[in-house]
Amino acid sequence: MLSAKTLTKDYGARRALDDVNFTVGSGSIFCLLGVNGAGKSTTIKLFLGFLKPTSGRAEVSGLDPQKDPQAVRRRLLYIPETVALYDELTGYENLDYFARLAGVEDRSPDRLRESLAEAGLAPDAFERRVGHYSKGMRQKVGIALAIIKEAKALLLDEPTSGLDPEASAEFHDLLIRQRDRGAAILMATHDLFRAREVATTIGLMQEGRLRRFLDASKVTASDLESIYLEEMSRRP
Amino acid sequence: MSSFAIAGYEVRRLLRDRAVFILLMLLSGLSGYAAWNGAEWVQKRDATIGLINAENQAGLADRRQFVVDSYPSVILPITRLVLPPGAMAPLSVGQADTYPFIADPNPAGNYTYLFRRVWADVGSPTVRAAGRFDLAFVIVFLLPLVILAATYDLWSRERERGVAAMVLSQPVGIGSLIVMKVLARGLVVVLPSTVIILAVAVWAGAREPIGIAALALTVLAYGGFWLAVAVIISLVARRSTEAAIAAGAVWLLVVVMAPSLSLAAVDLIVPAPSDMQFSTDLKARVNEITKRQRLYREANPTPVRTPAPRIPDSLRGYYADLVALDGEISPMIAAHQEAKDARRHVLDTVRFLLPSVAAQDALDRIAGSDADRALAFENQARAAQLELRLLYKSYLDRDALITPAEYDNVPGFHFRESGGAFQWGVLADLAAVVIATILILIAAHALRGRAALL
Repeated sequence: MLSAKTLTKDYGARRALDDVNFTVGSGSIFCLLGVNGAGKSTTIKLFLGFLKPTSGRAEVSGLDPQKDPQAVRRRLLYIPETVALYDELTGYENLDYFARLAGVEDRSPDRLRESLAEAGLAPDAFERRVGHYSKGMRQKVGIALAIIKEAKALLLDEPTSGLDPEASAEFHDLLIRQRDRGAAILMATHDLFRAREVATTIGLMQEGRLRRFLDASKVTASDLESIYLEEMSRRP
Repeated sequence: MSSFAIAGYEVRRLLRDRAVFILLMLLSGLSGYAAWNGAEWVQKRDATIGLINAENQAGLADRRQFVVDSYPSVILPITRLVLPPGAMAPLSVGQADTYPFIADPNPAGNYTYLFRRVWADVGSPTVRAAGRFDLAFVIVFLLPLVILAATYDLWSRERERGVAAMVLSQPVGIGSLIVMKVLARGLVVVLPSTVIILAVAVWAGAREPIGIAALALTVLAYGGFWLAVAVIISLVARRSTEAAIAAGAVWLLVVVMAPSLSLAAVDLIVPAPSDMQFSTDLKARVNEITKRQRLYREANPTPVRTPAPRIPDSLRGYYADLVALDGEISPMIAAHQEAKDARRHVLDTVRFLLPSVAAQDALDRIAGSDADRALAFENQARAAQLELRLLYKSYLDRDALITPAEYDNVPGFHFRESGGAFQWGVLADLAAVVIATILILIAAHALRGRAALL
């Protein structure tokens, strides 16, 4: 579903991403771990088509975001660190607006409410303005959009950063549900513990290179931490 | 996604923001004050014209008594000619203060008599004062600020808050999205602004239906131009501070700097002939000629006729000298007029390059305070002066005194309007504003990719 093929990105003289290759299949979660500036967000932006690769390709269902951005974005859902929404609109209105932008055909009020509820948003919050929402509530509206859009792939850029443990756990449960319905999920995160819990595969990134792949089911939390620290301390 | 849905949500967001209401309230207050100013100006001018008309009636009656008494001269019903304010005058004082609105026709007067009150005021700062706080000022100077204040950061703020990334991750065309957002904001800002301006214009006494329609079109066209400016600022500016600086700079350039700079450029290319110098030179020349004529008449007195004519021959001599004087000063007048016309032609052309000037010109024309109307009055006053002189000559030639019936039947002067609110000049101004808008939208189309840069 998501494929990075010799993906390389330079910002001027600086190489932000260097010959990155991976694939995220349907119903799997690929977590990118790495320090700030490792190239995780750049990878996600290349899949979104916000950036143009210097060389290589990012593919979504075989489509190139640079050549066919609309078709790619119809299949994707992007959840950044903070889901930025229109503060003047309610959660319900924001979902309706973004669902319209996404070209979702079934936007009946019941369907919108179901999606918000399925994403874990309390019904009494539906009609409150998003300006009064917590970060966790905003993330849930993002997930509700993934639900109603039936996104084939989710691109998450440190989505649980700043969430309290309970909200973080709740968010990861929602992710697992998305995975189980067949979505391919690429998530950049610093949270080793949660990454090991939800990921199918973990990729360790350092200075633009994907150093190592780990099967999340075959690694313990302490092993992951040791491997991570070892990889991050290695000179490129 | 349907464009209407984007626009609908944009309107909803804007209506939940108090800033728009504050802006519109501010515009209402300023428009009301400006309209009151315009109405005051019209009232004062009407009062002046009323006094002149009263004076005219008294003068006509006094002169008629001379006719009844068969005074041996050519007594014509001479009145001061006036240019009344247009039907939409409260809208704009425009150039009405810089041109004469009173003329003193005198069949026995030379060129300098007709507008002698204006000659006396040439160069006076009061007469030359421009930029009154009228509705045209509100439209040309302040409406763009209101529009820019409501629209300048519509995309840059979304970029800063991260909403743009969420929006751009959806399958939408960024160009059409921004255009729809700007149009929606325009709907919320420009339409109520237009209604406010029309309402205060009507309240101030500008009630000609076709003039109101022309005013509405002008406000919408000019508002559209500034919405197009908002589109291009949204596409180019990455941050709200950049957008604010860009909006301020464009406003300053288009509304304040460009008109001044273009005027300076025109001054360099086609310098304005000095009315003061012309007036001084002309009066000196007239004095020189009349002195020479007087000396000649003194040296060569008109032979006494027997029987004596009913109208003294001295008047015929005076008339002949007047015609000769006109012949001598006409090249001087023509040269000055030619220089003024050349400059006006350049200024008229330059206005099409500047939307703010074109809008001001359109408003002046709708209000009837434009230079063309004032010049039309000057031309009609000169024609009336010529008619009086020919009438005067006919009585001299026939040596007949005017009868009271003839005196009463000499037609009075009424300014003939030649344009109306939808005159060619207004349409040309509107076309210039619309073309400028289209050019900006073409540039925006070429730059639309920049909006997708986060």
